[in-house]
Amino acid sequence: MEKYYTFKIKRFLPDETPSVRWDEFRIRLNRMERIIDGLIKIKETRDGTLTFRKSCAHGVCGSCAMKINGKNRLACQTLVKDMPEVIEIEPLPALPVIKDLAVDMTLFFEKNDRVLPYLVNDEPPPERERLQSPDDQHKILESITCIMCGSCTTSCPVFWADKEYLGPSALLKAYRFTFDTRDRATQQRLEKITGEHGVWRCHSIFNCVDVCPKEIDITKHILKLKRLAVKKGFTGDSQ
Amino acid sequence: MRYKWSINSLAWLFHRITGIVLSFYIIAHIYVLSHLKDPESYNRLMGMMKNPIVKIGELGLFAVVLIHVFAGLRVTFLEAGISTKYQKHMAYTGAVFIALVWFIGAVYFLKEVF
Repeated sequence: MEKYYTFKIKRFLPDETPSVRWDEFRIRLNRMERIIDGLIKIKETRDGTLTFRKSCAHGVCGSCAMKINGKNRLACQTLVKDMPEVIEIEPLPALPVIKDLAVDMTLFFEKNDRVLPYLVNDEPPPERERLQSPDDQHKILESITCIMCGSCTTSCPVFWADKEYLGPSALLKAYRFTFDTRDRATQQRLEKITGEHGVWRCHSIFNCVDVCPKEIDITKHILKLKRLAVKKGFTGDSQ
Repeated sequence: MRYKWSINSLAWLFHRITGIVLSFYIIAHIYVLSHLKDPESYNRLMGMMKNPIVKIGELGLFAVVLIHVFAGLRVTFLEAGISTKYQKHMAYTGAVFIALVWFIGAVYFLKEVF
């Protein structure tokens, strides 16, 4: 069943004055189509200058995260049938906008780099690979599914107020490696995340959990990190 | 910036606002109490407290305290390890408790004046 939807898109055109404006496009879409289909249709048939990120279009790459009707979502995972007739689309909040719906994610990725987002193990590797039991795998299974779309960090009120805050995404990454039984850098990683702008800034607001397209309970992981930090004696004055 | 509110972000916001309100209230409270140096001024103040407008103000304060307490309990439970799966349930239950306790308290408060 096809229906008309009005896409209200917040445009940012740095070379024009005023640089910010709202554009409206009325397009016909099948109820089962997604927001990303609507955006592609607009770009192909109405306004070729509309800019947005899109890659896999199947909820795996995390490129098309944007604020849709006041909440961060993946445009490729949001069906128009679940939306009202007027759909408001804005770029992700709290990050500098490059053009239209494309934001500069540098700050977001820098935070990920700060938490040693890789396996650290100085022990000589075994002949084949470092094995992990299914039980150990289960401890980090949920956090592994993160696609780093940036929805969580940019939905966090603490991040809106404090751009230095590591944010849910980086903390989840820290969890993923800290609780990996093959990893040996717990101390270093806890040192990195227990500073002034680290794990203690999380106030359990759960905005990140509300928006995560992979339905990861991020706050649960951050709370576990907090408990581990207390247990290991990191109480916030290490940075 | 506009962003969609949910029960969890509202719980956090109310916890914050009531915390700020209470910290100002406590300063005022201690300031007033520290200036009561004799029985007459104490009795005069207690007489003022019977004023219905002050009573309604007290009901407001009671609500602020309740919201802060229940929002704080929710956060404490979460930090202590109660599953985050129940965070929304906890917020809704807290809201029900706040309304209930406030209502019972309001009956007692107003009984004194009317």
